[in-house]
Amino acid sequence: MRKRLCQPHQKGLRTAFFLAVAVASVVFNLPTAHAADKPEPGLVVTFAALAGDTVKATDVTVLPNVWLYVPVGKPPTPFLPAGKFSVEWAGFVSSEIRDNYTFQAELNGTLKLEINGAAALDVSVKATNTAPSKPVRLNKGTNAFRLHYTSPAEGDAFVRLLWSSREFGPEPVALNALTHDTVPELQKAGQLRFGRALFVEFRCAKCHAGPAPDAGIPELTVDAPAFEGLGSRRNYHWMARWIADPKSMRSTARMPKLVHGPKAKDDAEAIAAFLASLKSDPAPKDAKEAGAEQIEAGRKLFETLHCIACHNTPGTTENDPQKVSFNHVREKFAPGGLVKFLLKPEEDYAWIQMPNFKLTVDEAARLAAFLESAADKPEDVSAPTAVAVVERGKKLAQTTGCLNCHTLKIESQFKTKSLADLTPDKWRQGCLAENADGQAKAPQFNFASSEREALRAFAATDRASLARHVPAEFAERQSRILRCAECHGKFEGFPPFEAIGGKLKPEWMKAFIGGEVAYKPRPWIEARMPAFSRYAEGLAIGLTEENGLPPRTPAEPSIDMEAVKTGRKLVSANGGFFCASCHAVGSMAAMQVFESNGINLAYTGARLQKEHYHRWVRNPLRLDPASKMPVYFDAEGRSPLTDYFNGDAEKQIEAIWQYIRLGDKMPPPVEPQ
Amino acid sequence: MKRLTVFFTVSGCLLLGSLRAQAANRSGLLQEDFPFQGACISAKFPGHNVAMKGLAIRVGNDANVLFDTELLRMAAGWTGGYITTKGVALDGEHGVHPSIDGEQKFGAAQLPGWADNRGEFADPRPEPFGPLPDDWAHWDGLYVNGPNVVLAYTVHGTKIYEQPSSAAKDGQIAFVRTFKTEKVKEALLMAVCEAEGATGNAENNVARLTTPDGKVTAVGGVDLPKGAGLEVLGNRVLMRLPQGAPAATFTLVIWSGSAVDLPKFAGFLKPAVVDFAKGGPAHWPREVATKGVLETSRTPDGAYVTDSLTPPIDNPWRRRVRFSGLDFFSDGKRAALCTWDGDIWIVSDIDDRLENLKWRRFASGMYETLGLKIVDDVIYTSGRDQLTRYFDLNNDGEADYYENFCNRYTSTEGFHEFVFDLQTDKDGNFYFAKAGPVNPGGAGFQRIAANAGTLMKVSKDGKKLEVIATGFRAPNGIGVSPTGQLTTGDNQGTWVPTDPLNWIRPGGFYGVVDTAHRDPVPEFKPPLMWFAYREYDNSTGGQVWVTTDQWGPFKGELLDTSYGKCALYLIMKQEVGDLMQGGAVKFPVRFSSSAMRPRFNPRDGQLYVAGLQGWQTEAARITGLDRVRYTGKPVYMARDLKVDKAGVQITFTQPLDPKEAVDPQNYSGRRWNNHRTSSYGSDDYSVADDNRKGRDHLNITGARLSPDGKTVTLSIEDLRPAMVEIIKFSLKAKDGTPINSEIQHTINAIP
Repeated sequence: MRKRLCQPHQKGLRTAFFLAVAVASVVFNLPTAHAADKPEPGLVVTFAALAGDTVKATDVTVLPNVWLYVPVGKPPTPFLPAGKFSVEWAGFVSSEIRDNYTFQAELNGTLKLEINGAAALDVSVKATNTAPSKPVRLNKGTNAFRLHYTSPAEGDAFVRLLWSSREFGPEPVALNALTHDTVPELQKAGQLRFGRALFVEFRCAKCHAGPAPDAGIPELTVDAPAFEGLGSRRNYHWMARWIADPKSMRSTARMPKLVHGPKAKDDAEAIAAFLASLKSDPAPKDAKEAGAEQIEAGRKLFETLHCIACHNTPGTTENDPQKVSFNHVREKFAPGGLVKFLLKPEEDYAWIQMPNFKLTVDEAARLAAFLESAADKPEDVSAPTAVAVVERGKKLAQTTGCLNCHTLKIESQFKTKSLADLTPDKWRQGCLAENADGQAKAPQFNFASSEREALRAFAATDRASLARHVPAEFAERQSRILRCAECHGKFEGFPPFEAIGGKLKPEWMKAFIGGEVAYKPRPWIEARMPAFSRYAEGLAIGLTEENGLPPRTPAEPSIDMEAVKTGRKLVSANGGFFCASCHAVGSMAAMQVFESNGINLAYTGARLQKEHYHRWVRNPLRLDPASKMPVYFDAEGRSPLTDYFNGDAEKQIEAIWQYIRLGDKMPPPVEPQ
Repeated sequence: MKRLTVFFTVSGCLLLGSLRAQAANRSGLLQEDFPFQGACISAKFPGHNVAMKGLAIRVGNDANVLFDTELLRMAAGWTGGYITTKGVALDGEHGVHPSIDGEQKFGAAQLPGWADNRGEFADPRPEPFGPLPDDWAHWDGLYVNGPNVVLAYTVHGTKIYEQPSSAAKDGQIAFVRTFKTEKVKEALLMAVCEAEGATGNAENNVARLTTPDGKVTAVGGVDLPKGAGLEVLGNRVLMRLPQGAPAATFTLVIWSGSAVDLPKFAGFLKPAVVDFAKGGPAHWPREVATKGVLETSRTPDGAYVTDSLTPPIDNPWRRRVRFSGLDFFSDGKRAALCTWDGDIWIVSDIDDRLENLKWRRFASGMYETLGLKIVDDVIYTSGRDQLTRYFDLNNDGEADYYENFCNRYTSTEGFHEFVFDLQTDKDGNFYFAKAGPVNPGGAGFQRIAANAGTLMKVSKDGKKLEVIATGFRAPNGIGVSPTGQLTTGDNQGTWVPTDPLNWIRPGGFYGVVDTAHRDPVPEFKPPLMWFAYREYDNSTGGQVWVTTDQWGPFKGELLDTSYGKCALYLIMKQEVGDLMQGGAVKFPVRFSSSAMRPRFNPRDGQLYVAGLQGWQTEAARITGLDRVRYTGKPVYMARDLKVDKAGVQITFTQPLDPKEAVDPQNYSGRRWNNHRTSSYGSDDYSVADDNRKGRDHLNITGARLSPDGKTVTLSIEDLRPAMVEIIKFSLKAKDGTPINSEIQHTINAIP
């Protein structure tokens, strides 16, 4: 279910970010559609590796905001070495009306901000927040924006730019307030990123050995469906057709066509016969035919789980080539195999894109019944069992390269050039030959010419980027492939994808994406977050660093029990904000939910970044304009409850945080009578 | 006095609250020291037994009865608890209402408590809601005298007073209903109680019902007037009073238990009714003193400040205070406030400094009173059950007689069927609104009864009720102009895409198809304005017209409050053909709780706003009463708005700096539509492209200033009707004072 990578001019910008602009535009409304050359979202970001003050190398990309976190000793981008670097963000910052703003930053390093050509901030700071700038008058519409940052001599490099106005306190600059005009350098740098992404996505290094997997980026370890026991999971006939030409069955298939020439069909059938002979315990077959009721229940479940984010709806004419179709599902899976697969998709393929929905056996059966009800009827072709055929298939599997990606405890005899030996001139041959004739025995990937060009651009580098793991870019690539934004931001109750990285603690995010959180944060939503266990850590750290936040949540001092008492009162109905009207607190249910469910506060301390929590409580509508959470505090930071901390909003919000940090030990916010 | 086969005795009405009752009351939601609470209340039998407008009355000895003020029946008697605290106005839970809590001893079916003039008990109402026909049975009201309640009603022309009480002896408790009747005008037949599957008989003024499980219910009549008697008909006990029976005071005693305990009763009862007409001792003689706080907030121009009249939240009775209605007595020094919990408080010594505010409780026990009006210094409230008029018979500062002024509207079990606000017009007619029975969770409706989701008018004498307009969902507050123009708000939900401000025309339909009460559903005409749900109003308050000269330059204007956003708006109106349209500009002041019930004080001419925290709101305090006071300083704000083909004209209270005013850079705007559907609320949709979700940016291409410098005309590209349009401005007055604000309006038509 690969989503095609962006075209060569793609700039490494998050797909979700584009969505973000649509969402955020209600927060910060901008003049749009005026200029003929409409600026594009995000800022042009130029990274430079420095030796002293000398620029050794540069890399250009587009990023959504002035957010950066580079742990010490790590490279700032895949194309630059670790070490001292500078970054320049350039483009425009927009205001909806002529007005004054102040800027400040969370920073380790030096920073110089220019707006409309005039210096707004010029500071060198060691791991703390800068003072706010003097008020900067922004014109209505776009204002030239340029921010130069240099990494610090010591410690992790980070910067997060914040702005504030009469109407709101310090917060990251609204995503849709930052735009840029495209520059030529982006084209080239984008092509390079694209080539590198293709290289890892198509598992090129499985045949053309590069850096050892443990020394390279995580995607070098991407696997493929295991061959052990495959004969009990897949039908022979489907495998034969698939091997003969994967793309004819799924246009987005990454598996190349490995059998060629007049004997291709025979070869494919032989390999399939061999694979069909690899038996394990077969899945229990469904005892009885699924009834209409079960199929209907499966259809409902299909809707509830939003399967359509990645799949075409069975029984309809929907035929999005980017989505996986179910037409072949009966052909593909051995009887009972689909249920088994749905229960644990990652069982034989750790990096599979299909997540684990933690279905019950009944749910899996219902879903399978629905999917199978609309699928093509399989042809009744049984696998050849003649030893000669199976042996020939085995030999082919060993010699055509199958085993370079698929595991089986027999030797792969397929040999080809190592990555080091593939000098740039050779990237026009073999897999990358312009036409099938030129490919001879090489695997056929059917790359588009733009893809071949991108791979060649990558070939022309020193390829050291394969050993430079930049988590934010990993998260960008994988979230696009996993189609996270097909649910997040699209369906009710799914937080927009771009809102996640700066919001959740990476530890909790990792657990949640990995399916290790036992509770459902929003139990009122029918859908459920499925587990992407192999991706969880990379996404969590990547999304966090992308937002300019450290990959590990900094330790907090121990809980202030005096503040807890105040926090508890503030949460209560008696003298407080009555948070408990919409939020459950531990085992105490929410009292007055009216289209306004809130998440159990006992979960909050472990879930939320502290800074996000503060901003959220201070003014929820700044973060989610559709939120039903009340805004209690004014822009000057005053609370209407003057009995606590003289009405200091931040102190009150912090007291609630201390109470919330008790987690499942939070006493209910009810005063003993 | 007749000898009884079974004798009953009174062993003194000891108020022995059970532990369970104490537990319920510790939550502070129910009162132990007051004899009744109105609510929709379920009993356990017989059948589906719900008093839609019920009074749970404490009758001593840990016993209680449930009186149904619509059917005039004693629906149940029970011991061992009071009522559960379930309910939106009690523990806050949605979709539920209280039930009797304890062991039910007797019950009467959900049918008229008194038969019609043919002796039949069949329910004559088109649906099981609302009162019985007037000439059959009329609920007059109740008297409170210390721990006693006397119910007053009229049946087929005969006035009846009834005092419920109890008697205890040998571990047994009997329910005592003491009646005081005038000469019976027409023969009367009353349903006393019934037991499922029971058989029984009556002789010598004692009726007995025995159920198959051996439980006995016995009813004894004491001092019945001549010709009166008890009967058993099927499984029911009836009491008959013949036509012409003389004025009398008599008693019915009801007991139930196992047959072996039946002989435990000996002796007899002496009927007695407290002298209710004189009023009883005060329940809350203590005053609560609070000190107000001046200038809790101010507008940037300093023209308006808020003063807080500190509410009596800390009070000796631990009574929850949530103000839901407000009006002033004629002296302007005193105001009465009702609460959602059913109390009335009177605050006195309202003066400039607010240093010696004194609060007295005046009444209690009412069923979700959300509106209050004072007419000729007499207090009226609107509640789920009725409009009530209060009389302090002995001038001790508390109500003794709670008169049913008008209960001619329906009320179902729906928790969301609030009765909102109470206003009068220049002719003395009363107006109030009633919500639709929204489902728990917010979307869709439960059973719609006759008056759900309507705006109603009650004649000055309380005798006539008419529906003025229909199609409402939750019209929390209403307004009546000096000339009688009605307005209402409403709340987003099913058929309400976002909160409107409705300019009411009699007979109008205001959008909610479920509460249209007409077939076919009339054409929907748009409201005066739709509020931006997130920014301006997510839950409406009420409206008030500026009727005084002391409140700055706005006499004759309409003001609106937002309950959810705790905000006060000036409403700018424009008549276009047969449509009204307009917009709102905020007075940037802060309220101590929600802003729900605005009212001008006739003495100081200032605006007072009461509010509470009860459902979704940004209000931080459980209740508040604030004064929005004009300081006499110049006002710098928008004050008028007109739309025509030339653009949007905004008029300010002061001349503007001409250079700033004509620079389009100093203006920005957004606009969007919402879709009115049967779904809950609506997303925002582009005005330019109705299928696209989101909001449009306004392209303001020019700004012109009028010769007097006060009116800006904004040229807007593709100006067209829009439900919500916000125009923001960052300007200066001619004298240099900054005016950073915005207006929000609706364009229904462009003349």
